[in-house]
Amino acid sequence: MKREQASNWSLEFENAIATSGLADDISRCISCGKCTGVCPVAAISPSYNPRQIIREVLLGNYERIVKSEEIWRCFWCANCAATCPSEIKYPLLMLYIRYFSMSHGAGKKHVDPFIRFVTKARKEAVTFQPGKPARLDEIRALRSSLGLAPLRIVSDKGIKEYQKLFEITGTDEWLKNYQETPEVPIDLSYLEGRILVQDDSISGSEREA
Amino acid sequence: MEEYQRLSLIDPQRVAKLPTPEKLFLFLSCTGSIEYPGTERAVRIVGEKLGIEFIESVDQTCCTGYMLTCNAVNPQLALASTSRNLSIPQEMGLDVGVFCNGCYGYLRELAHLLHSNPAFKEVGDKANEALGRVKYHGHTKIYHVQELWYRQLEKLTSLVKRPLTGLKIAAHYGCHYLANKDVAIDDAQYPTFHEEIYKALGATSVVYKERRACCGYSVGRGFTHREETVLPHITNKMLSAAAAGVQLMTTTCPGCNTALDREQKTITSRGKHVSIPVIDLSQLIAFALGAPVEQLGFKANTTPVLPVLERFVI
Amino acid sequence: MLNEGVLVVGGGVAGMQAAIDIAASGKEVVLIDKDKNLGGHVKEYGALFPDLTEGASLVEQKVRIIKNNPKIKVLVGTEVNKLQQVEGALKASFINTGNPQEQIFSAAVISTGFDNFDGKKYGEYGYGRFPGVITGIDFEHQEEAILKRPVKTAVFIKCVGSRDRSKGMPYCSKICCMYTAKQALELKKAQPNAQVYVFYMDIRSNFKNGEEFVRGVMENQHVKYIRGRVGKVIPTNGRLLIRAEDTLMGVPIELEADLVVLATAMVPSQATQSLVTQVGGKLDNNGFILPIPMAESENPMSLTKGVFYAGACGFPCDVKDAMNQGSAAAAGVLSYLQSNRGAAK
Ligand SMILES: Cc1cc2nc3c(=O)[nH]c(=O)nc-3n(C[C@H](O)[C@H](O)[C@H](O)COP(=O)(O)OP(=O)(O)OC[C@H]3O[C@@H](n4cnc5c(N)ncnc54)[C@H](O)[C@@H]3O)c2cc1C
Ligand code: SF4
Ligand code: SF4
Ligand code: SF4
Repeated sequence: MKREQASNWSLEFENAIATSGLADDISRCISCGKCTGVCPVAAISPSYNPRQIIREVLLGNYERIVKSEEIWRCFWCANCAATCPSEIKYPLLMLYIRYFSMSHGAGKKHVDPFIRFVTKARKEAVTFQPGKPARLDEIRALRSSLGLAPLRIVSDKGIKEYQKLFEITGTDEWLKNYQETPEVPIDLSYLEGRILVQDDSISGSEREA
Repeated sequence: MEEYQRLSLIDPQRVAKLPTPEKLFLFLSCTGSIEYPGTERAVRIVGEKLGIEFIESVDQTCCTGYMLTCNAVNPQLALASTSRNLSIPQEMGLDVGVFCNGCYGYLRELAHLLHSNPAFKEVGDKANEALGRVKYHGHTKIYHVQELWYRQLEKLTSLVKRPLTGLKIAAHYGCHYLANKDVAIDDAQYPTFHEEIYKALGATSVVYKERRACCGYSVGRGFTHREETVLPHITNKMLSAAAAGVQLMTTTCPGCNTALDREQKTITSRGKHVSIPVIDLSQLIAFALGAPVEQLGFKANTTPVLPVLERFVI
Repeated sequence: MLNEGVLVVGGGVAGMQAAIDIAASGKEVVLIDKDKNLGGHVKEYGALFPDLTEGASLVEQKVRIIKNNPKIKVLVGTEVNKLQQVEGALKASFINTGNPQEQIFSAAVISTGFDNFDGKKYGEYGYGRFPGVITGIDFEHQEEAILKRPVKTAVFIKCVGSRDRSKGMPYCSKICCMYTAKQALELKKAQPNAQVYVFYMDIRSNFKNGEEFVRGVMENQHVKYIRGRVGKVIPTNGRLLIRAEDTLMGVPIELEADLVVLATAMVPSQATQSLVTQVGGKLDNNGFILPIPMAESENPMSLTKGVFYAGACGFPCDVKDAMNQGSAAAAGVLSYLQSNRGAAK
């Protein structure tokens, strides 16, 4: 890997985050590593490192993360935010980084699976309603036995209003754009050359057992 | 393990500030309605015993948080639908009770964004205006039912009909309630209020190594990164619970419940046997208060629940 | 009515030094401490950084000087709860052996010291919950017992209650890097086979010989310093599992320990805050004493008319610094009394 050129770094991304109103002031990060220390994803897949991702954004070396697989790993469990001494709301930053990555056509394979939920939710104003008749019957039977409506139904008015929200918030347009943007393949791991030990034993709990 | 009892970081002032409402708007959870309808029923049963009437609305839609955090819609949609959804209880003059950590976290965070950022508020206001709805003023209070149950712990204790003597229960707190550090009633890193509830129900609480580990299912990683990270993570968590002798686990989020209950089948099929029924805290409380078992919807669970609860049914 | 007596509130190292220096010039001093012995925090410490002087013997030496000077009247077990400016003098209220008393002084030194941060505020570290997790101050108080109890692995966690704005504690406590190195050294000397780790974010050893002291702990005692703030302590198999990131390597790590020492912060005390505001002084954002801008005060330890301060009530400091400040405050008191007498005449 060649020496990094600070002249290639840009503050554009950090500024964009600051004006997004989502993840405020990540310059407060003191790079203490508490987030990574408690992060469940880093524990399994150490090439994922929330602290380093923040540093990349701060230094303006964001090209690398935008095009990386790593940013799609976060569970969004907010354990990092709950423990951070600097009150950094990392999950919101992550949300923003992912949008940014998508705007470059990257990461689509990690978003595509959810587009079908959206399409369905737009029709029903409820997410996860299964399509298979057999499963639906099962749910109907159970719910009825509990004295609940056979299916969770949103009123026609509710559904119409929800669909209208898709229009007026530009979501329909956004979805169309998303679908039309060609995918940029990503296969770059966050830090090339990091030596990772492949360990599929479940070390911690086995030791405990 | 008694250790946790030596210290409680529950904030008594925050607990005291919680209401004991007579009426509350019940915010319905999509996952809850579909995966574990027994939770909703249990919430109503416990509410009834405590004198809380829950009102729902067929106009309430999905909170949209999941789709937002899967980056599958734009943020404006989530802001607008939060604004719209919260305008419903506002018009009824009611505060909101939520029984899903996901809905709770998203509603709180999005309501906070709406409240604190004029540009976001405008997105919400414009949406409500276009729909002919009132503007959301941002003062509706949002509670998770788990904190409301804890608020009335004494009353709950006095109502127990089936003391769960000898049952070893462990908590999965989930992340998106505790992450709201500014309002959550307990410490985000080592909470104990669920354990206090178990004690009130007569059960024994078990502290296991990965009790504060998340379920791995939020923001859809269960779809995109299941093999790579989610399954190893859940396996780790559930095996540590099994090693500690946990007989039953409770959650406060149907999403977490789905992950921890359903994935046990996969874990077992891959050679690491684990069988710990996972139910909602409200279901557990309703059960201990004597609710008929058929009303609690345990049929929905993948890991059978009745084997551990049966002996308490007289 | 001018009273020549000087009040020193708080008989820690700062207050003792101030009393000694004021009395050396022949002035009457009343040194009051709420504790039943003089010496403040230091009297309960083992060896002190940087030169490993015994805390107790330092305090003994000061107490001897104080006892030998009839100009110093010591009131222990006495808490000063009120201090007010009255007609160019200071009126102090305190409770001595159950009797509330009031006395007029011509000048005063506030040297009320610091409080210890409550380690319980970090649920993730389990202080007060998991056996084996102690604070730095516990280490000092129970040093003998701790050094005797065999440990395979010990972990020191720095900045507990410092540099943490989420806990409302943004400042660096300044001395905990050094006392941690000292405690690690003591542990290694007592148990050379123990594996000792120090988790740090920065090493702040800005004292004379501080850098050399810390390097010595690393190089001669082979204490391992790991850069990263510990995320979590989890009781496992009767031991304590530590989870953190080694931020220099960028990898999450886990290790098991038998002893975890939290380097808890020095925090402002309630007594300091109320006395300072009563005499018209100001507090800074963290609740310590707000100094008068340097160019506006005659003495670096000036607070308000006739009132000076010294030691950790102003901001975390080490023993040497506390004593320096005590001497400086004494000089301030003496020149104040000198010029005030001139004015009165
Ligand atoms: C764990 C730990 C280890 C340390 N180790 C070292 C070390 O090795 N070397 C070193 O140089 N420094 C060390 N320090 C720093 C050292 O403790 C301080 O520098 C020193 O104690 C400051 O002295 P002080 O007189 O300002 O305050 P204190 O020691 O706090 O004394 C204040 C005194 O005022 C009294 N008082 C308070 N309020 C009132 C009142 N209203 N009325 C009457 N009396 C009152 C108190 O009882 C107390 O006796 C350590 C600190 C900690 C926390
Ligand atoms: S915990 Fe917070 S301050 Fe520490 S490295 Fe992570 S984001 Fe930065
Ligand atoms: S939110 Fe993401 S980065 Fe933070 S702890 Fe959870 S998985 Fe790790
Ligand atoms: S002196 Fe060292 S341990 Fe103490 S707060 Fe400062 S950096 Fe942290």
